[in-house]
Order: sequence, then C-alpha cells, then structure tokens
Amino acid sequence: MTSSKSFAPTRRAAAALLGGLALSPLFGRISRGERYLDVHGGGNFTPVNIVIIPFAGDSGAAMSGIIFNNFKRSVFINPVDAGAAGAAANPDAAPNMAAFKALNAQYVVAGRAGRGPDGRMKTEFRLWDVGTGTQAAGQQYVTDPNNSRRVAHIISDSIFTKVTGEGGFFDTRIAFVDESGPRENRRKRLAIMDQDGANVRYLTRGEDLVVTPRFSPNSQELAYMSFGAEDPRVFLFNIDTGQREVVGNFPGMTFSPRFSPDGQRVVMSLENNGVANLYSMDLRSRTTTRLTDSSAIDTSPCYSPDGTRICFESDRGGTQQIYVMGSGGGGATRISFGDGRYSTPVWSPKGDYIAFTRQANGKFGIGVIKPDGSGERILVEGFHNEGPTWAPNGLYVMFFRNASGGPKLFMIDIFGRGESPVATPNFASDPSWSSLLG
Amino acid sequence: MSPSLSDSLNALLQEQYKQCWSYLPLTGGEKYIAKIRVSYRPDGSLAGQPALLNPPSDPSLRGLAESALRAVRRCNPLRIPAQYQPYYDQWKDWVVGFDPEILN
Repeated sequence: MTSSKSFAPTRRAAAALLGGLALSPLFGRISRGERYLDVHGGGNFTPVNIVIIPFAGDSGAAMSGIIFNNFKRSVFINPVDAGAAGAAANPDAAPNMAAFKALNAQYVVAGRAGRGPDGRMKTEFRLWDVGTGTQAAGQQYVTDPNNSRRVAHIISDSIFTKVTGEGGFFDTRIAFVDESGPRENRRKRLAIMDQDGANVRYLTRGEDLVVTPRFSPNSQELAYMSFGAEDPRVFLFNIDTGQREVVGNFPGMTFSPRFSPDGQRVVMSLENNGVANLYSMDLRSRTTTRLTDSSAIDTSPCYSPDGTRICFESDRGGTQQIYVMGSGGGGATRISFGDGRYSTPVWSPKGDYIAFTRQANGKFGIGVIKPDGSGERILVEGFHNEGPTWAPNGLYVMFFRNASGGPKLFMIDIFGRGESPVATPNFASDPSWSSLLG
Repeated sequence: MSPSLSDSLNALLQEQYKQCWSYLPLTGGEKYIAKIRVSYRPDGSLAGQPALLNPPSDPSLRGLAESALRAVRRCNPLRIPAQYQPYYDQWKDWVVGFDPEILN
C-alpha cells in the first residue's frame, strides 16, 4: 500500500511525459477538450440545511419535533423551519423544490405518524434532495406507540447518515449519576435516559454513593462503583432485567472498570501500597491478569475498539500523562506532551482519537489526540470540565461541568464547533454514552 | 483564450463551486478527491446530470462524494462573464475535483 502510494506520482509523471494526455492534478490544463478544476475546501465548513416539514397525522408534529431538536444539537445539520412553504405540503408527493431552494435548503424531510386501526403506530418519512428534486431516502415503521420516540431517533440517524456519510448517534442512551439534594448531603443515583434527555429511569435508590457508570459494548449492562460502609464495590447491572451482581471489592479503586470490545473482560486499576497497576479481569472466570508493574500510579485504562491496545493515565514520567500499550501489557508509549496533567483517556469507537481531560493553568479542558500522539486539540476549556464519553459515531463527546452550584452534562463535536447542554432532571455527572441501540 | 484569461476563469469558477460546497470535515482515513464531470450550455446552465467519475469504495466517503455532486447542482447555473462567451468550446466540459479540508 505504502509503496504503491509513493510510486504513484512517478508513474503519473512518466505517463504525462510519454503520452502527454494524462489528466494533470493542476487545474487549467487542457486535455482532450476537457479541463480539470481543483476546488479546495479550505475552512469554509457550513452545516447542511434541512427543512423539516411538520409531519402529518395525529402524532406527526411530536415526531418531527423530536427530529428537529435532534438536529439542533448535531452541529453538522442545521434544521430549518418549513414556515409557509411547508403548510400545504403533501407528505406523499414531491414538495415544491423552488420554495425550499429559496430557503437555501439542500434537503427537505416530510412524513406522517399516527395510530392505525390496530392501535399500532405507523410512521413514514421521505428525504428529498432539493438539488435534484428526487427522493434521497424514505422508510416506513410500524411499532408499539410506546416506541414512537425511538422511531424518531432512528429516522434522525437514517437522515444523518444519508447526508453526512457518517454513522448515527441519536438512537442511544446515556447512563449518568443523578445528583439531587443539598450540597452537604447530596443524593447520588445511577440513572439512564435517552440521548435527548427523555425517558429518565433511576437504577439505584441513592443510599450508597455511585460513580462512573460504563456501558457494556451491547449496551445491555452497566458497570459502576458503589461506596457503602465498606470498600468500594464494583457492580454489573443488567438494564433489562434489573438484576445486579457484585464483581468484587476493590480497596483504593477510583474509577469503574471498562469493558473490552467483545464484552468478555474488563480492565481496571488496583491500588496497593501507594502504587496502582492495571489489571484485566475475565468476567466469566473472574481471574485477573496484571498488565503493568510500575512503582507509579497507572489508572483509568480503556481498550481500543479493536481490543488490541489500551490507553491509560500514568504519572511514571513525573506528571499525569496518557500512555498507550498492547492490551496484554508490555512496553507503553507516552502520547501526551502538552502543558499540564492529562487524565481519563477514552478511545473513540472509530479508533481515530482518544478523548481526555486536561488540567493546565488552573483550567480544565476536554480534548482529543490521535493514538500516535499527533493531532491534539482542546475542544473546550474553563473553570471545570471532566470525564469525556464518546458518541458511537466518534463525532461527539459528552462530559460534565461543575458550574453554578453543581455538575451538568454537555456535548461537543470533535472539531469544537458547537457545544450544547444535555437535559437532565437534576444535577448530573459521569456520563457514559451507549452504542446504537438498533 | 489567453493564459491570463484562462487563469481568471479558473479562479472565478473555483470561487463559485467553493461557495456552493458544504461537507463534513473528515476525521481520518484515506484522502479522497471527488471528481465530477460537468457539461455546460452557453448560458452557464448544466447540459446534463453531473457524473461522479471515481465513486469511493470506502462507505464513510460517500457523504463527501454526494456533497460534491450537490455543490455542482447548487451552482447551477454558473455565472460566466460575457468575455468568455467566444471561448465556449473551452469551458463547456470540465472535470471538477473537490479536495476537502483534512484536519491534521
């Protein structure tokens, strides 16, 4: 691959010399009556404008409203109110493209949603390409009415993928720690909700302090830590059955374990005599394997999406920095070299970036860095920001920020273009983003 | 067409396509430049559907290819100043390469 790439320019140059007919990558050369023009994107990113016509049917407005609000937080898609142009639209026919061109829209979404005679919810949508006047996507769903919000998220994902070519992230859940009550006596409950803040469910009652929930790869289970009277304990909670089991008691543990991509193992940091090392644990046999043997604090480990590597935080070089090593242990490579202290590294589901918290110059920032240490950028920085978690498409991170009395959740795209608050009923911390539920 | 006239036409068209083009900045993977064959009428309007010459094999690049096609359609018709009319034969057929910004 590498060799053919490096050879290509030479071959192209040779062809140009010999034949004189090759298409030159430089613009403006005439060949066979055809000119080549090179258009460089530069920095002129603009979101794609999509008009959302309120859906027809008795549940239509609610359905298209959920889709509209999803796109509002997506940064890459700008939902546009249809206004008068949408009033007379027939969801079964091609809309009047000229009216939407005037709104500078590239796409139009129309549809309908309502209960059929059998009580089931029937939802359908069509995505129209304003440039060509043709239908770009469309689908019909028949579901239990209780699943109507999920249908709106599935439609949002379908449109997002069609328009951007990237995976979706709307049909997902967030696990987090719900914090209520006065500051001196805060009640911390494990909770889950839909990505847009709907359908909040409490999984613990708040007797014990809970921290750092982590979704299993199939999003059916959560690992979390609970601090009761004794040592911190790690639990596995099955979201569908409500059953929970103790993984073990872990003195000195500060972060919950994280799952391997195949869900068979977890990786964690265990403290002993002032040093902390990394261990993996087979969930079936509960046998642990020691991965590091340092006289430092190695903590916050996380698998790469292919399971072959682990990123973690260590102060072995003097200050907390991010390191990467093979998932079976062995030599580790430091990848962060910026100012300050780096912590809570999390590998993107796409594999291309590792998100982290950075503490520098009295500020906490959320950033991303490539696994080889290049491409570092800080997405947001301020008084406090912490604990990133990735959307399944690797385009957004969610994190929590302590400000004005307590922590709240926020999300931001990996280019740092747009931050939005994530709705929660109370204060909230330690978010964990599920995979697509699909 | 003189070289200077040709260069200024290129610059003019590049600017128009650029204004019409919006896309997601890529986060990695291979570099991909969507190449679109276009044909124009003397009034600057498209003389047929633009054709993508190099459809990407990587599905994550399909959105980028579509954004390039969309840019050509949004830029229809092109604004071609009168001084280029005598040279219609030299600008009626193009291949436009859309080269995205790649962060890092």
